[in-house]
Amino acid sequence: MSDKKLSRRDFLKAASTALAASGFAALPVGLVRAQDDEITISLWGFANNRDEWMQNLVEELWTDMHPNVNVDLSLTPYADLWPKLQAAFVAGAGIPDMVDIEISAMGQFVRDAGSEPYAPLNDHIGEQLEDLSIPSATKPWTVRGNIYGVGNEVNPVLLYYRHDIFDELGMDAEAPATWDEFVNMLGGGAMDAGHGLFPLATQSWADFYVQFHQAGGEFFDAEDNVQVQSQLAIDILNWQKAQLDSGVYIEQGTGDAQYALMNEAAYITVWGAPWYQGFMKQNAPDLAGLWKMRPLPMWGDGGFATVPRGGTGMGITAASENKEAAWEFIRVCNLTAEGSLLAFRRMNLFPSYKPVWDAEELLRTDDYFSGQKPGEFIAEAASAMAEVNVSPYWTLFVDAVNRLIVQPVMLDGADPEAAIQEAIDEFEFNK
Amino acid sequence: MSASAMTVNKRAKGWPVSGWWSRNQRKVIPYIFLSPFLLSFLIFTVYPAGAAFFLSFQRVRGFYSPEEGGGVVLEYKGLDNYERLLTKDKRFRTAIINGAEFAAGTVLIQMPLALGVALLMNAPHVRFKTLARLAFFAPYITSAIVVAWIFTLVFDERYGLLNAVIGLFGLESIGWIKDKDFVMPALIILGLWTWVGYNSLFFLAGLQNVPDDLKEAARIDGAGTLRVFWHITIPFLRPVFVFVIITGLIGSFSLFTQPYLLFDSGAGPQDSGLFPLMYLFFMGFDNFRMGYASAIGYVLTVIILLVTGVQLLLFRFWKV
Amino acid sequence: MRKGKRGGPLAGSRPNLMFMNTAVLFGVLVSAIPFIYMITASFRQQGELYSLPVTIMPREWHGHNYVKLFNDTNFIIWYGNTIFTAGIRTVLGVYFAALAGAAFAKYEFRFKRFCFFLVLATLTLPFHVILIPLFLLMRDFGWIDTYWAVIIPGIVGAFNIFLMRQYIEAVPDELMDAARIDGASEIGIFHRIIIPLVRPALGVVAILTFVNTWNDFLWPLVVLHDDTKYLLSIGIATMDGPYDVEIGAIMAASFLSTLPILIVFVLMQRQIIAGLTQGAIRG
Repeated sequence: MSDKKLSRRDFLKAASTALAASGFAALPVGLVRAQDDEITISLWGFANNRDEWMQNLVEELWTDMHPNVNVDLSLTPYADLWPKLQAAFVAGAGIPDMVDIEISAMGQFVRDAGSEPYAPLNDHIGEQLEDLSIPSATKPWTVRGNIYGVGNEVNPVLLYYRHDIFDELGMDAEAPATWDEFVNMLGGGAMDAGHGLFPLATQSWADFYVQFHQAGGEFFDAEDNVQVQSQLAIDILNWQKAQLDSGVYIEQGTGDAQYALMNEAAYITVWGAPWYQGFMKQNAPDLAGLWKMRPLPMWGDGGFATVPRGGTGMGITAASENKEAAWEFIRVCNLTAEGSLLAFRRMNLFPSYKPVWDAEELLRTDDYFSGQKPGEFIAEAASAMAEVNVSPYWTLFVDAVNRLIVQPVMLDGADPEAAIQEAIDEFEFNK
Repeated sequence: MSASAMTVNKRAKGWPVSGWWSRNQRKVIPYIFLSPFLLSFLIFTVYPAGAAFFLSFQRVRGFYSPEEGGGVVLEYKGLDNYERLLTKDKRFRTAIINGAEFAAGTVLIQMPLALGVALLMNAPHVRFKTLARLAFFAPYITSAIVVAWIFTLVFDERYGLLNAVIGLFGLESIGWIKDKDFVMPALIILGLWTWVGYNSLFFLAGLQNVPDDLKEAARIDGAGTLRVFWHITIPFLRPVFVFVIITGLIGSFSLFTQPYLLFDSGAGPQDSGLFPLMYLFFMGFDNFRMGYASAIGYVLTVIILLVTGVQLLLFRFWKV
Repeated sequence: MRKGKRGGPLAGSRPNLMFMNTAVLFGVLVSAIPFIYMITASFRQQGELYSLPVTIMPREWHGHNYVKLFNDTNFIIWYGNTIFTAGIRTVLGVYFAALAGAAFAKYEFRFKRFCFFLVLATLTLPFHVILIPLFLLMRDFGWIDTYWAVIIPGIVGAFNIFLMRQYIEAVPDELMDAARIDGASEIGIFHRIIIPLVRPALGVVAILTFVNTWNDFLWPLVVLHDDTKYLLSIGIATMDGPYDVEIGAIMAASFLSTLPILIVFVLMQRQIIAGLTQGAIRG
């Protein structure tokens, strides 16, 4: 009996030691002081490639510059980062110093003026704003004039085409200046040969927005009013639907399936921002040397040469106790030649920091794109890019666009005008 | 049993107790036994649930800063959230209808199938029983996240396993999670895969409890196999039906992870995969209307309790 | 072979039996194939899953997904964290559920019916409703980013109490009374009579608790901030990035994370099924 008791006590002792050792002790998050002058700044992100970039940056640049500031990077599944952040904001506890803010997740926390959980970066950026490509670097994270995030990459949409197949068809993909010319030239011949032209997202707003935005349309004006109830939106929807019906556009597969379609040459042109080039290389390595790129065709009158697409900005939380150190990290990542070029090397993303735009490595030829220099195309397009008005209600509205406009119109042939009205009604109801 | 009882008695002798405690411990002990549950229930369920109930009458308007102690800026809205939800909100109605459709699929397809599987497993001489039990249980213990990933592959329109199989029969490919008319069938198929085997285990246990002599007696009285099944076996399974259907209904209305992941954190084409809990989640988190989300939660709870209550009443009328 | 053993409408002559065996095998196949598909997917080249024709087996077996999993992610750390939290939660959870089950099954007390109704009502309240208030509570306890927050709040599961009650009801009252006459305390009776007699049920509740903890996602994700404290379910989800999805590595991780539960199930099959279904039969 006494033996047993003893062993039980031993067990408890061992167990409690194990408990203490394994993270049961409550540590104040984001501020672990090892030495008096040593601080740790934390960042919550969601993308593996950005995480790798920042880790590299810490190892190669940061530690030498700021040996007493540790950077704690943690990765959260994309869709779940926002509820996690929301819980922390509501509790006012466990908030990280920095957040990787994906462009479409900017809005919901900054709706009410005066209680934004992010810190404005305007003063920090100061005159360096001139060094940045505004449409990509700050505009998507700007609400009521406050800049809440800095994006590292420029992301003008470009057109990529299979020059081998165009040659086979005896067509010149560089010739058409407008969308109509492009589609008309390609229409019959390519389809006869069994190819569609573009993959079109029929489930989501993204591709509708690219063409609508390029034509001069916007989801929101500067006062957060919805701007889609326009003839332009109806025209674009009808145009896309017509292309889809005639087989010029084909339905884009979801997830990895879209690359399978790419590999099978089910479509022979595709548009995408520079980050998309990385996807192409990763998912269609066998098509190296068969692609070329060109600027987007234009809409007849007005509109823009290109539009930005996607992006993630680094922001500082209002609760951070180390805002200066956090800003310094964001600055090194995005507003220095070393940091932004490192991003280019790690993620193949063209920097939004303009002083490096003539860096030699950015302008190298790329065999995947048949010896073209992607950097030149990107830099040129970026200088004539539309800006996007990101409202705090962006996510809410875009969700309505998916379900009530794009899906019904593209898949069921619903009337665009009525569909737009329904989306607006639901949006106003939920706003 | 008696042997173990003996040892138990012997050991018990070493624990003499006396005084007030020995006279009253039987009255006190249940409270002690219950205290971990009651404590955790009060602290971690009742208290937050109360806070959520309070929140369901508010509209959230931004955050207080950590210096101010954190928390959210509230605006009292009375019954507005509930009124809006019950009388005006089309998406909530869609979500409830989807939940009901899935529940119908669960009760009408899953239950008979599960019973059928159990009958097979209970029949004498049928082989592969051990293997079958393992195979049937495997989907249940697979995490919903993993299930969603597997079925993203299975349901893919061009490269999916399911279309490859129906292609063998010369049928056209179906956009299982892309075409809004096929989303509910796809989800029901996913539900069948996950739960039929699991539920059949309950039916199997029930079948093994049906006394053989009762069936024998009925047969001697000239009753056919089907009659015996209908009049003896099925009534004996009543408690299993109660359990399986009630848990199935609760599960149907609380479905979240599988559709949420299958539709890439969305609601499926034109809300065809929208379930009440997903709607709650979208409203409370993506749209930052936490008060409204709380109201959704409470209305949903009442709906589940009502549906469960109706089921229990129905079963009360079904006497052996 | 006793005639009476022939049960149900599906009693069998020979061709009938063949049909039934085929049906069972078909069921096994349907249940197992998605699972097998997951396993084989983990051995495929990137991109092969999205190519025609669709095959169950890989065209070539590759181990690189596993290499990637162990080299590029914290998979082993996540695994250890999960076993640790699931283990503690299971041990405590089973014990508390047994205590509460015994109270409901074997004792009379005021508000017994009401308390039991509370247990059942807990089953219907969606967790998402209390997520934020519960998180606020964790803040006040100082439990954010600790395993306390993962383990303690859900430790006494309603379904587990329900199952334990069903089981403990079957323990003969005479046995308990005899022990009482011999002077045993109620706590002694619980530990020396009830617990040994309901061991199968403890096994069931243990595996259910373990599986639930193993698969828990949203709550641990919200309360655990440091990614070296992540559990498997969260860790695997981080591999599903918006910019790069390594479906093969995800499948490899999924397979390895399901494996221990499957092994436990194989080892304890009889006990688990007997135990699991007990609650339902007595309704």
